[in-house]
Amino acid sequence: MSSGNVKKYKCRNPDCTVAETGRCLESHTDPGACPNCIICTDDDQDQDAIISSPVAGVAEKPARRFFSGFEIGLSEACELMSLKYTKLIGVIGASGVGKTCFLSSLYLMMSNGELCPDYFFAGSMTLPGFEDRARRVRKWSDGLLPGKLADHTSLQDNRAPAFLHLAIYCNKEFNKRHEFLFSDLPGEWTSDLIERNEKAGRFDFLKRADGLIYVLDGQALSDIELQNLEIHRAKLLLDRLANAVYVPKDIPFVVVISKYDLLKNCEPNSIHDIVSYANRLGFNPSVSLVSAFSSVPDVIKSGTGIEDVLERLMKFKNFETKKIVQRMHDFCRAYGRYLE
Amino acid sequence: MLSKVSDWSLLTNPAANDDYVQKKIDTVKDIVSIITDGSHDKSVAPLVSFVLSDIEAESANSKDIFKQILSLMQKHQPSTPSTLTISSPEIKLVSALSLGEVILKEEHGRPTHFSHIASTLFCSAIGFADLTHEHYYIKIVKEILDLANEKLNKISCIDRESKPNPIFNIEKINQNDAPPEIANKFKAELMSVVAYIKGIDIKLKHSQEELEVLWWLYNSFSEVQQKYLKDLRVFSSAICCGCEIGSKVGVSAPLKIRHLVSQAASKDRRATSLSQKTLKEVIGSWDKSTWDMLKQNDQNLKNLIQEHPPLFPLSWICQRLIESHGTADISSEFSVNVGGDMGKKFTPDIIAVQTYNEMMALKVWNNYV
Repeated sequence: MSSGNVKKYKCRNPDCTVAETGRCLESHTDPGACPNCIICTDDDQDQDAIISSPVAGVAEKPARRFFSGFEIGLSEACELMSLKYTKLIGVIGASGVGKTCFLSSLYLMMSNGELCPDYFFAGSMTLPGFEDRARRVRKWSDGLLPGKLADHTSLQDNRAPAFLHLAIYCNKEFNKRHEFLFSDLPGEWTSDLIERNEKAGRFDFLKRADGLIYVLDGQALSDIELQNLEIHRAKLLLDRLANAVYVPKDIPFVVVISKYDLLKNCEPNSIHDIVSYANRLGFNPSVSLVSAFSSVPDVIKSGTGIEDVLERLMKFKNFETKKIVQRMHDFCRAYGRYLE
Repeated sequence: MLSKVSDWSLLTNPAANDDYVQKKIDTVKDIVSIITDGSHDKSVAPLVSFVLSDIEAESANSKDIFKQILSLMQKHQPSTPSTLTISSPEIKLVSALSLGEVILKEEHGRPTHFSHIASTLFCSAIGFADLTHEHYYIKIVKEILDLANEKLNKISCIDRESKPNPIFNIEKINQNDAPPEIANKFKAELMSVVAYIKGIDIKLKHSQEELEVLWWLYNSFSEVQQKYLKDLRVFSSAICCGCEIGSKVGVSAPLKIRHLVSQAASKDRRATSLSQKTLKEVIGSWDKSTWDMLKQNDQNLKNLIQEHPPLFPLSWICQRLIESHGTADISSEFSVNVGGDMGKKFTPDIIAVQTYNEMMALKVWNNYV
């Protein structure tokens, strides 16, 4: 008997191991009954051509995924965004300025009902992610917060952004549910963008942003020795956001001055320089002083400024009827001369 | 609009690649061909409704169009979930792109009747559309609004453009030529003369319409109510302005008529009476004669209003009030059928322009469908 008559199973689906194990990925008892299975002998010449033909019935269908709940990737974000309007908020800032602390504080305040009655927690698809980020804050020693409040953010896929999902009911809008996706990026992404223009591609998702939070270290901005460097880097970043990333300029832009509890109750003067530069670039930033976790809770409460930031992010430009009529009139006037 | 696919796709996909964009373009092309193939004249209204309203499709026509859109999306992008509803951004995006493409459609340098219907329906529906928060989506809607206005303006201009006068060519014919030669030369100019006379006729009609509107505005007298506008309640007067001017102008009215309607609604009124009022208060100030002004007698138009309340909100309210003899609970019915709430505030000029836009949309629809 020649070896050419021995039946072998091969599959067009690259994930199927029927050739090695004899078991079909789609659980057919007889692997030959699977539409993707190719029964071949050693004599077959065109095995490779047959195998490389498309897999039946699975074209474009996403593979089954297991959602960890720690963070949302771009593909999951797209799924969510296609079902319901989702406000994508970019949170940027250098390492250690308090981006993750800000998000943890927002989550803890929201889930603890501290923003009631204006805002209610309506759930999150990334609860494990928020809990993981807030884990360190729950560890107290002798009544004091730990020195480092959040672990350094690292991404599973360092080339694609990750998001944290938070749903909020807004009481002022008859309990309308708002879906938010906050980006949680490592600080190095921002530093890289400041240093190299080519890194702008990683921030492409910000073209679709409904709001932007730029977190600046309040302590560094108040420090006479560090503030000029901070201002310079902030201006460079704003330049990149405007001219390389092309962030829309009509979205709410909040400059968060973090670590307010360490600023002795005064706003750093250097912030005005940054804000006026942002204005020149066409942005319309507002400044919020935030103390996500206060080291002096008797003087400045933990979570100070969080609600303020949320308020500013919710203030999307309204497209009211009056403006529509005005727009129609402007159009009529512009074309009136042509008509005559 | 196909050039906008890449930009607008950001609404649901911040990382749209070329493949995604190409598939979206194919989907939109298929939807547009279904809508404009001639057998689906009535599918433009559901499309406008999908773009501007979150109200679930009630009519069989709307449901049918929705199913077709979804199946085309799944054909080109099989990963499209079946759980999409008309309020899903993905459906709104595809509908907006298709609507933009329908508005852009032209034949022989002139917008098609689909473009005309879609543009007027869009202007009618946008007045009461609840678009307060979806920042990125509002950008898309603004672009479609500009496009719709531009097309309406183009239609109006084409109808009013001057045609070359063929009389000069006829004068040039030498009378000393042989009669057969003169006849041949005259024959060559004959069709131009016919077109020119037709053009004069249309121009006369337009001039007459515009003259009537100007006299009406000069008199400020409601022919339906048989009262001066200043003697009517401010919001009843607004409805009068929209309805009566809307009934006087033709379907290719210049856009500046809207501005005149808005001015007429505020003429001879004190600033206090022109303040914003909630829709509930506005409707409360109407009497039966005001409802009757927005009443449609044509059964097709009645059905259209009934099937698509978000496209004709004021006409729908009046139709419901007439049907129920004023007993309908409009507040609750409004949020279910039109969307939004009756607490929204409006000034008389906005109500007047909205009435005018609804009248024009119904007129254009009736003219073609």
